[in-house]
Amino acid sequence: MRAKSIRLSLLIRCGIGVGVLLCLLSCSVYWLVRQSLYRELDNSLEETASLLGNQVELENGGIVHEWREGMGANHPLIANGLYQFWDETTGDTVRSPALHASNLPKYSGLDGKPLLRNIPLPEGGRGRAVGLRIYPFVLPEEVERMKERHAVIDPRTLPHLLVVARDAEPIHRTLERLKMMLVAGTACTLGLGYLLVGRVVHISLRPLERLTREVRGRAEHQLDAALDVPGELPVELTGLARDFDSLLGRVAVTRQRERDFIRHAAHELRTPIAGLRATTDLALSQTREAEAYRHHLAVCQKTAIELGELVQRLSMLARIGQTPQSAKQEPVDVAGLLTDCEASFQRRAHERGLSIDHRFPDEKVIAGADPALLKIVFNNLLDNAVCYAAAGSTLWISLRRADGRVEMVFGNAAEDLPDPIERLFEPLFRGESSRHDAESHLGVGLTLSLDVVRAMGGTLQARRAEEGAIELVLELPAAE
Amino acid sequence: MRLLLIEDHDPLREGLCQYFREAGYLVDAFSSGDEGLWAAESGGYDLVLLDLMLPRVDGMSILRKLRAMENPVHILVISARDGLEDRLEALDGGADDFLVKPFPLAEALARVRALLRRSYVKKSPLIHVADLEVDPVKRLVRRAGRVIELTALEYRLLEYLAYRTGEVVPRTDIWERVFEDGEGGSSNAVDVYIGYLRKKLNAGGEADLIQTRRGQGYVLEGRES
Repeated sequence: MRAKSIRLSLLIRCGIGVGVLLCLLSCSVYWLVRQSLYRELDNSLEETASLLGNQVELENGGIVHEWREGMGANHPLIANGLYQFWDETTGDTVRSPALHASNLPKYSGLDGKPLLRNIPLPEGGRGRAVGLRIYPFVLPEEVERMKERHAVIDPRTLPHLLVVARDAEPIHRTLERLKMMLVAGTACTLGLGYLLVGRVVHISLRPLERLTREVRGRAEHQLDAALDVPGELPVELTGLARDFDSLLGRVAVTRQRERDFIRHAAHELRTPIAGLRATTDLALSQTREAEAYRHHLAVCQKTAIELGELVQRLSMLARIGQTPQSAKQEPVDVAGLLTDCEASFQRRAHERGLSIDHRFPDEKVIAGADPALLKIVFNNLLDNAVCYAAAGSTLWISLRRADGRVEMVFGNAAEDLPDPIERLFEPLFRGESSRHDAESHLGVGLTLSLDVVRAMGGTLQARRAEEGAIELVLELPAAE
Repeated sequence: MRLLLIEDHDPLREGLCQYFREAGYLVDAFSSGDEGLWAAESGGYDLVLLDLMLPRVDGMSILRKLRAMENPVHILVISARDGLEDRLEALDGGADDFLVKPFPLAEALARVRALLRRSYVKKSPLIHVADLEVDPVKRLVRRAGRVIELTALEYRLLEYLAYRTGEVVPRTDIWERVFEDGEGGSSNAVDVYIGYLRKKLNAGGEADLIQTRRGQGYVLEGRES
């Protein structure tokens, strides 16, 4: 699937947006102008109809069209106007002179109310007309005369229909011209808009392009170096750059871990390989008795076993660092978990004549930690304490809560502490008393514990407590 | 020549010990830093082979302590640490050479010989004293073109005197650097073996190159005729 271009996407979306807006605007303008023109025409038609409606009079018992008498005074209206009267009682009709013999459509609104509509004009072309019912106008003097004649006629019994029409072609031509102008304007605006938006998008995307070049131009050996983020980077990209830098930081940590692992692995493998090489060099440096070869072969076998144990340690070391992402936080009763873990070390502690002094508070101490991971840490710390404590001595484990943290101290008398004491946390570091006890102490327990504690948001430190004693201090976030 | 080897890895320590002994050197070996430091402080060694990662007292501490005491012994560091920083730290800390594990024993031996030559200000691998030629690589001795057969102890004695040509070498120095511990006897054995050497070196009727300085020791030098 082809990747979408932000530039193209922005251009298309902006174009569609601007196009829709322009169309709406143009339609609105067209509609408003059309409404205005038609309103003006309709007003004119209604005024004419109103004027003509008053020109039908009831006089001497008959209908008189006054407008015919006023032709001289209002000649253009009378001569050029298109209107027609129908006497609904007799069916007679009277037309304006401009109609000649043609008829206008005969209609009115409901109950004779004025109704405006578009009509075809008799000579062709489009027209606009109003149709309405009128009643003859009766002067007060004529009412008096009808009373004297005892022949009073109600004008409502003599309904007439009046239709007044006007040529609407000028309006249509105006509207056509307006339509053309709006379409052309919209098209030109869209075209110019595309050019302008394209330029703006191009300028706006420059920081992104610079960032992309910065990322693309990164050589393999620079993978874990922070990005040279352009100073004027927009705020929308700053987060991305920061996240990318954060990702690079994690890559750097991983690469450093790999380098450390390879360094430690090489370092650890060199000495037994040197022993192997020395033994074979020595065996082959001169002709020897069979017993001497047997001895050298036995040394080689022992070294090969040692190398096998080393590989086991290195495999464990390689797995260190894979746990942090899975660490979860939940309330853990620290003293309870510790007591459970201690149970499995009681036999060994007894064999070595060790006693354990607990310094726990009366109330429960709850830490926020992953119970499974915390159990690993406790087992490692207890294992170290039981293994390295001087025989017959007392271990002490204290627990307290302070400043939103839970502090645990594992102390024991120990000989041969490394200097600096932080070396205890170095991968594959072992106290010399355990050098030949590779099965139980692989030199990775404290490294693994430190990694796990950090993943749970805590700290693990070693300190010299007193002459010949060590304390491992574990701190975790407290929980309610 | 007496070497001190401080290395905690048993197969490597034992292999080096035996190889150097078979090459004619006396070797004292220790597996922990504190014992090794104690031995080095006592003196009496021509060269120390020192591992850096040692139990109890680490190699760098031993190196710094010996140099702080102005101990002139040549020190060859053998280490699994191969980083530039590690090598620079050791060499700047007073080491005379640095050998990264694993290494061929022959190279270790060659470096030991080179350091011993530097100890006694010798450039050539062959030592000449008048018509006497000592070849430490082949462990071969010639006088006036004649090959002289020597026992291992006689060769060690001659080589030590040859390295210190022109110097009066006290009998106690010879006793410490040439004779194995627990060989029995006393420093009178030095006089006995000097006698054996003289006999073999002068078998062709040549002039005696080993002079006795009463109450001081012996000196190997070519006499001006």
